[in-house]
Amino acid sequence: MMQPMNRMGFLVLSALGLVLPGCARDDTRVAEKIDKLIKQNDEIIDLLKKGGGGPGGGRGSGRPSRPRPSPTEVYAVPLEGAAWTGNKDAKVTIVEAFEFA
Amino acid sequence: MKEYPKDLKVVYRHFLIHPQTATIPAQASCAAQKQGKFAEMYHLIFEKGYNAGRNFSQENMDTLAKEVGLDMGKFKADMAGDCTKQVQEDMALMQQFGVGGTPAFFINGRFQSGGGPPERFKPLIEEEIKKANERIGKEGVTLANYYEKWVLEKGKKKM
Repeated sequence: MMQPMNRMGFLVLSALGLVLPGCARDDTRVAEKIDKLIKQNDEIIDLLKKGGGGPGGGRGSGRPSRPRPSPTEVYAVPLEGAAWTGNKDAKVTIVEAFEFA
Repeated sequence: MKEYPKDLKVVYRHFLIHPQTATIPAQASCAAQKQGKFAEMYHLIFEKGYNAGRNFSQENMDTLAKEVGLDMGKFKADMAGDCTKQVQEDMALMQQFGVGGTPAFFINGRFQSGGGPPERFKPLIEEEIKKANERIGKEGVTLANYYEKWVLEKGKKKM
């Protein structure tokens, strides 16, 4: 016969035996979730460092910006066939890229 | 332009950022150019097209072309024919020199992007006039061939 105290201890241990494996399983899941969140967080930090990942992310996004002509260079832009106004023989010729919009 | 009546020439190249709205008026101004009426059509398109709620419809372009006094048969044929090609060629040319938006300018070949008040360009225009004054009359450079000698021959052929 089991003494009452022993019976109590048995019940407690049995209960722990049932609960602890459950806790262990939960801990594993929580750990997995934490790992996943940490990974996602790292990915977000990487994106923010690159400036991407959403609205406003374009500026300084790390993507190569489209090259633009240098204002200090001279470009040989031809004039043939284009409409023009002003003086035919002028010291300054301005080529304007335009649209009606 | 008004400040430099003898020293400035403005050459227009089409560059469409908004082709869905800007193609028809571009072709219309091109067709007017083929009848020697570009400047008149250009101003009318802004005045009675752009300022009229951006009405760039074919119907409105036809109305403006009549107002300018164009031969309507030729106008319509050029819009649908040569001018379709010319607008595309202008765009390809501007892209070759790195243009990515409008307005964009090459002042004696020197690039300036964006709009703004005309005063913004004054220093560069004054600088180019000064250079031209120093160069014209030397080594076969004349006012008539200045752009050819100093921009087309010496400038970069693409970006």
